[in-house]
Amino acid sequence: MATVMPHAPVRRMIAQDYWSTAVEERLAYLDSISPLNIGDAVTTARETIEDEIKAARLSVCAMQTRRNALLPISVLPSEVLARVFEFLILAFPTDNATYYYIASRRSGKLGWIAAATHVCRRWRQVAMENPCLWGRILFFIGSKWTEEMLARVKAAPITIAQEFSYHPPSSGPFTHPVIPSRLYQIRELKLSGQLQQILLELTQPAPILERLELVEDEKSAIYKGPNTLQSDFLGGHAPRLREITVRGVLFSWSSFSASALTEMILVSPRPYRSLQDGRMVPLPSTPLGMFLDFFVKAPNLTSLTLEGCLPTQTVPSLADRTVFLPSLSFLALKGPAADVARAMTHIRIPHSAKLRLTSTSKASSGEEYCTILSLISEHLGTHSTHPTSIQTFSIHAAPPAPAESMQAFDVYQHHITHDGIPEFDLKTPPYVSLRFDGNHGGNDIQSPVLRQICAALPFWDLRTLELSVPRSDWTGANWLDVMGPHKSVEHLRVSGIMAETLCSVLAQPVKTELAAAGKRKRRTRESLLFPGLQSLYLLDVNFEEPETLSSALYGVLHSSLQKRRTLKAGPKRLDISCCTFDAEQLGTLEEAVDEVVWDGDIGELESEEEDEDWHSEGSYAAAQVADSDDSSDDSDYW
Amino acid sequence: MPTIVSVDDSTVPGEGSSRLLLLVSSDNKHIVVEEDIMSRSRFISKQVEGFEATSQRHAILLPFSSFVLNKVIEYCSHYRGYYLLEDDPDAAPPGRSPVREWDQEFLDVDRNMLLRIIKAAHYLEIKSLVGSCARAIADMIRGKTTEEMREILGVENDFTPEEEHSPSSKCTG
Repeated sequence: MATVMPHAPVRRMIAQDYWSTAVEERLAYLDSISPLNIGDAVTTARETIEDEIKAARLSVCAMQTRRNALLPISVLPSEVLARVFEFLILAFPTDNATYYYIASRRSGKLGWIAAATHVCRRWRQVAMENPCLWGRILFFIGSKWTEEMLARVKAAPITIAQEFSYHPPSSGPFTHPVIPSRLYQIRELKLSGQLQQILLELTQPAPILERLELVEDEKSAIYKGPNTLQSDFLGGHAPRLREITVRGVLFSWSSFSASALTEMILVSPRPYRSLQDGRMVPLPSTPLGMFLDFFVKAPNLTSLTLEGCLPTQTVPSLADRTVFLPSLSFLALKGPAADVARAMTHIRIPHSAKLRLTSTSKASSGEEYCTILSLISEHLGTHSTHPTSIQTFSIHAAPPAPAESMQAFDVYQHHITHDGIPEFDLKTPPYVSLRFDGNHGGNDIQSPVLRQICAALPFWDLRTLELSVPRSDWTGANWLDVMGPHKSVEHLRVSGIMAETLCSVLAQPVKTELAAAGKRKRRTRESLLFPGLQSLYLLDVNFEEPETLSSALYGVLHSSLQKRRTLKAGPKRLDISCCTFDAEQLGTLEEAVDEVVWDGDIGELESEEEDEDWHSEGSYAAAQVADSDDSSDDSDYW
Repeated sequence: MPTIVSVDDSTVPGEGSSRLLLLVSSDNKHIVVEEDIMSRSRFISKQVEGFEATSQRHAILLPFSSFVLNKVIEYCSHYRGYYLLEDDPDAAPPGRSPVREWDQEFLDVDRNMLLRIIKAAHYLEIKSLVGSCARAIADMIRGKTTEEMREILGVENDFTPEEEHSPSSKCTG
């Protein structure tokens, strides 16, 4: 039967009749009651009216609920609305109280709970009835709410991210019992801070645990030594564990079944100082056999990072044993060069995998470079039937710093967007990056080392070259000798003093080319350094440095570029960035290159200009006047 | 459940690998689409399985307009042949739906349209589209106070004063 809706005026009349007729008539008997009445009559009348008001309010709420039901948003089924809430929850980080409170500064301490469950009855009902929405257990908003969440989550999987700091209120006495007692239900567990106590309590199986992150506060381990994952950690049963990160805690290679693991990050704690005699106590080394046994059972690994936990001993009986990780797309190994090399001889990875090798050896020696370079070369298949040439190569060397000594060697076979490496727009894989810090080689990247690197790596199709070395004995002759054979370079990015020596030889012929041609002093496009150069990026170069060259660098660069232009040897584009550069020279360089891109930075000239301005009497006076009288016409002063 | 009407073979040339489906919208528009495109929809897949069991092909009547249906087809066409984890019935549900740039542009529509798309996606059981729409709605109200959420969505406060101050109270609606 079709529903007939009355017209608007009739509807209004019916509504008015209800309130004026039905209610008023019903309460008409109260008209006879006066405040002066003796006895309970007044009290009863008041209570009657209160009851009517409450009933009317409930009716209004019910009508508002009906009206809400007719809104477009109400077409969303409950499960879809619950999905919307899931995305709201993700906006509130649960592993850090500070970030949580920043995110919830507008919605209040309860975050999404308060914001969404107060919108209307339906939203609250949907939120209350979906256990999955309560699975991100928060401890820092108070035990009452933690209990409430644990009650609402029922049997749904839960996520716990908790920091155990020095201050008890952030974790509280409630936290410790909850985590061990709910291990059967935890899907993600992130614990950080002081973990000694909680690690001892996590001995129950974790059948649905998929992600585990343990980050020890290393400050707490300086004197007492690092924590260790015991053999009964998680009862040895975490069959669905896919991602594991352990930082600052000694990993037990026999604790887990690794069969489901896809991502693994292990960062070993640092050696600690003994309280008894103050000596540094070495950490127990990883047995090679146990190490290999672990990875045999982890065929699904796609990403593996191991820092400071590589086997330190060679075992003759295991010399030929290798483990193939067929799905691996990223491998990062960090440790002394010998340990890195040892691990690489036992772990085989797909040729397409990204590789990051970091040497932390104290001594800087050519032997280490050779060790690591040969590993990179082998990964690129230099000695195979189908060798690969590096297309993008970069060296970054930092000045001395108090930070940890290291050398990092990255090999990327595929495009990457950002991986902590300074951005360079022209990365074409295979991409190899060598980074040296100041304490370990960064200050010693002299010509022999660069020569050694160039000899060891496959560069026959090198397209992009990036060199950033703070101090160097690299001369113009080195450029010609070492880089001369790399004819395919199209993009060159050079920083600092190396750029200055480069400018002087950009238009000089490479000696070997002349020798091959049997001619002398004949300059052709093919005889030049980098004959196919398309872009030149100069970074952090002091164009005003008088000691570097006999004449100003502008002139040398301009002359070289103009000669190259005559021979159609490029570059078409010149980038000048973060340099000490005189803007007036821009026009001169633009005569020699199709496009000059300057970032507008004049470097040290800026401070010189300021000094000059400040000390010149006229400007100083003008500044004083301008400060004292804002209403004056600017043109009088400038 | 949709009404199913018989369709003769000339309307739906349904042989070979690129079989076609006839979808009929609530405004009675007939839209022919390759079965492969709509395979992302669990609902359509189940319907097609039903056709195979009875050896008869039918038009599938859907309870939303051709405008909305075309948007859904556009989505399915874009991801034709792509594996999306959310749409894999055998895969464990992802903890976090990925942000897809194309989806964000695709769902840059007015709120009512967005709600119609999500309802259609839910009906057709296209989990990836439901997820992207849910994210888009969440983005509209993320970081807002309760009052602001109500204002954005036009929702009335229908709580009694007692209910309003107790988020944990039982609410029967």
